[in-house]
Amino acid sequence: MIDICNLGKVFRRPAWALAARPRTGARSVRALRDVTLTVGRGEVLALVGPNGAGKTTLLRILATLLLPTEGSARIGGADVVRESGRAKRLLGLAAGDDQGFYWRLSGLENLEFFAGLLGMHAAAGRRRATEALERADLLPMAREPVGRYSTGLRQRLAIARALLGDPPVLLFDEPTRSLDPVAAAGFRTLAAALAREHHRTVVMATHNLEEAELLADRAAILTGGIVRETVAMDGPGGLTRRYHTLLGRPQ
Amino acid sequence: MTATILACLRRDYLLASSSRLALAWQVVAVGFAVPTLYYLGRMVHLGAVPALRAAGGDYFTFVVVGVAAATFFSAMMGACAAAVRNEQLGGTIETLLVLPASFPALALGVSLWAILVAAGQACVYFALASMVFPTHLAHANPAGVLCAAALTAAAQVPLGMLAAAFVLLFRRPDLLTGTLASVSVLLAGVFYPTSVLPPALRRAAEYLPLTHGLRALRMAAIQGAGPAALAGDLAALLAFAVGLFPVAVLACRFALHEIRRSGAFSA
Repeated sequence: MIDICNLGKVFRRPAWALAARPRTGARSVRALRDVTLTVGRGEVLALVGPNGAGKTTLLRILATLLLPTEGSARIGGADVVRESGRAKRLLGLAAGDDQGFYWRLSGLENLEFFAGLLGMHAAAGRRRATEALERADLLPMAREPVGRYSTGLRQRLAIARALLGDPPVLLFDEPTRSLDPVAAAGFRTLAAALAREHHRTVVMATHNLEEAELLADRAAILTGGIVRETVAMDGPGGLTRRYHTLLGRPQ
Repeated sequence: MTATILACLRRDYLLASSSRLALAWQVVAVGFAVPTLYYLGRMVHLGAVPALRAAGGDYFTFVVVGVAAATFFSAMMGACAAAVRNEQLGGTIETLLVLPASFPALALGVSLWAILVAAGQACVYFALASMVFPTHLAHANPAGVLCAAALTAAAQVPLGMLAAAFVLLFRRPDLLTGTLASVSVLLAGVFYPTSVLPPALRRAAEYLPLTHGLRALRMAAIQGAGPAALAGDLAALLAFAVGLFPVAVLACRFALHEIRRSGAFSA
């Protein structure tokens, strides 16, 4: 479902932007180098690694938000650069720090708007929005303005938005970062059901190794923009041990 | 495309109606502006300014057409850039760009509410001016007005696209629209005929689409001139539209490509 081949990304400060940007700092930063991964239909892949490892950059390239510097990535056969429109129809993205809502509108109104951008007309959009809110356990808050939502509730709303178009590929960036333990468990149950029962492909960046072990079929350990190792889940603690072997234990 | 535009319109209506006072003020403000222009116009004696002869010698009619049209066309030019800036500041631009809606549909959708509000304001200008105060709009030529308005809009839209590209790229407030609007107020003949300007400024004014738009609109609305009589200004507006549109499309494409390359979406 997802094919990533020799993907690389270097952030360069463009010459024309020198006047508009801070002149301090490095002129270029390599965020990803030679990443090759394949994720099958119904598979859950966890991206783990320290801060700055390139997890979010990889997810953003897959989400068509960022252009890679080299290599290619395909979602359902659609190249994320050349066929970004088709790729966008196949994916849903939810980020842990998602601010992408209109705070004066209710959760339902927000999702109805995004459903419109997915090409759904009013009635279908409302139905899908209600279903997505139900899946994210947000129906009781559906008519409240998003400004009154807690961080965790907004995160659940972002997950609901990712589910709105029922896409075959779901990209989650630290999906449980602000969730309470019950909501986090609810997310894991939902993500597992989406993968196992509905054969959705899930790629999830997380710092929570236990969560990755519970949910993922495989985990890619990234450091410095490189996939150091892809680990198949073979029982509790396996990923954590491998991660600490590669990256060292916290003192 | 329709679903995207309707969704944007509904969203902007909901956002605007969440602050009804601000929405109402946009109409009330026009109610204050029209009498102000009327009483200002009474200071200008009939025939005192030869340049106003083309406007039937009535300054009030002249300035109402100018202000209403400038309000509408400035909004048309700035709507997209303002919407892009709001999405940047609100942190929603990434969310919009990750969804499969096409950029032209999105750009039109997020601009439409502001354009409709400005069109409503222009209508209130004309309604108040013609119903409450004496104006010289009885001989308006609808075909001439329509042609002039449509072509002025067509010439302003690429400028709006350029402004939106600037905002996308630099993540700064829209300087282009603000500058053009100020220059237009000075040179395009919003408050006074361009013929009162010194020759150098008069020549510079010819490079602004609004100059041709206002001249054509006034001729059609006040003197009843049809499209044939407006041919010179309509041709200039068409040239602006045709010349600027490809540049604006390229600028938008470049801006979108650059933000996807740099990852710099929000403010």
